[in-house]
Amino acid sequence: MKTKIFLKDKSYNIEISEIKENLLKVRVENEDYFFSKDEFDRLVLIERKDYPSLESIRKSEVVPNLPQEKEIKTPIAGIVSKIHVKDGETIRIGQPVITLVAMKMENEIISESYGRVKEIEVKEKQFVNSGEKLIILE
Amino acid sequence: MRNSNQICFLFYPKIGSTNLKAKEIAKNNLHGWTVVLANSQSKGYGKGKRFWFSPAGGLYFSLILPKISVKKLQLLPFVTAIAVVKTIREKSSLKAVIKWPNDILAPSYFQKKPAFKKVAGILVENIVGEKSRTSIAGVGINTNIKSFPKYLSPEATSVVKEQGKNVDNKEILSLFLKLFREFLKKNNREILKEYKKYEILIGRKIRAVVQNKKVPGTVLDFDKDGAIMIKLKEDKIIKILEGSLELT
Repeated sequence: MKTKIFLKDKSYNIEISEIKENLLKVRVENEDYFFSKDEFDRLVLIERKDYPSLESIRKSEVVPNLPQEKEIKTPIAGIVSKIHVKDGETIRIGQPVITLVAMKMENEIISESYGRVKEIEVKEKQFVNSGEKLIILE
Repeated sequence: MRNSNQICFLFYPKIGSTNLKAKEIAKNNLHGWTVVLANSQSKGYGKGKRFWFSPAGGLYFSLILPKISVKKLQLLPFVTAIAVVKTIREKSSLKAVIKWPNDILAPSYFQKKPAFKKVAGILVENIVGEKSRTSIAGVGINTNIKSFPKYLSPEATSVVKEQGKNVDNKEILSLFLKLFREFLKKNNREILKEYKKYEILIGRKIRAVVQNKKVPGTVLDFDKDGAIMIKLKEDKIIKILEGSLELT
């Protein structure tokens, strides 16, 4: 389905297509957004691709490359103060997974991938160094 | 995208918490260098979500920052503390000091023996993804608060209580932002050097309460990440990144 929308005096060309069951692609100008349904039947953003040139649009794959396993690592050192997710839980992009505390800074580590929690590698009150694995998603 | 010369202010006469509001706003990309400011907070909080007393008269704000390097991020609480302590010293007669990591204290003379009481609090919260990072520096300064509830009186004070005269909250915020931007641009060595000018635990005997254990020692220094270095018995040196310290 192709359409045009107007937002704050600017127009955008939009194209919506169903790639396969439960995978929806929405193209907004030169950007593709891929959505899937979560366990609550809500549409959830799972991937986004920017296409800066016409050449890369022609070469682009229709279906996003979803990695088999994704590790969420911490970029900073600290102590795990709270784990917000459970084994088997489906995580959305932007969802906080762990809070780390260091020097009175509270750091909400968010997931930048969609997936299901396969393993939680840390425990509350555990010290972690920067780069250490926190969560593995499948 | 805004830079540090174009700060956006969002003012609320009353709010739950400026940090909570800042975290909500920080979910889009147009928030860098935004200040969320309120006259009072009903759900103000500090470390570990502890309640922060925020009646009208005080200064409560949260500064949303764009992505900062991980190296600088570790010292963000120090940069904030430096800006708060220097602002209070310049705009009032209080000789404010820093207690690691970022408690802002001032000498209080309302009891038999002068003591250091808390005059401002800082809570830095970061929303951290693999590629994205947003930092929120939350500050509460007890500027024009005339009295505190009984349970807080032993540990809290305000500028107006100690010097007998109100201060202008707008001027305090303006100077804080100027100093914050100035120190954020400095390298970590310069930040640590300035921090140590105002920090009161260096060289003092303390008890470190780390994960429910009390460890006595002497404070030696701070490392490049802002961890406190403590000398224990038998000259053993430990580094603490997170914990609270008691003076002995």
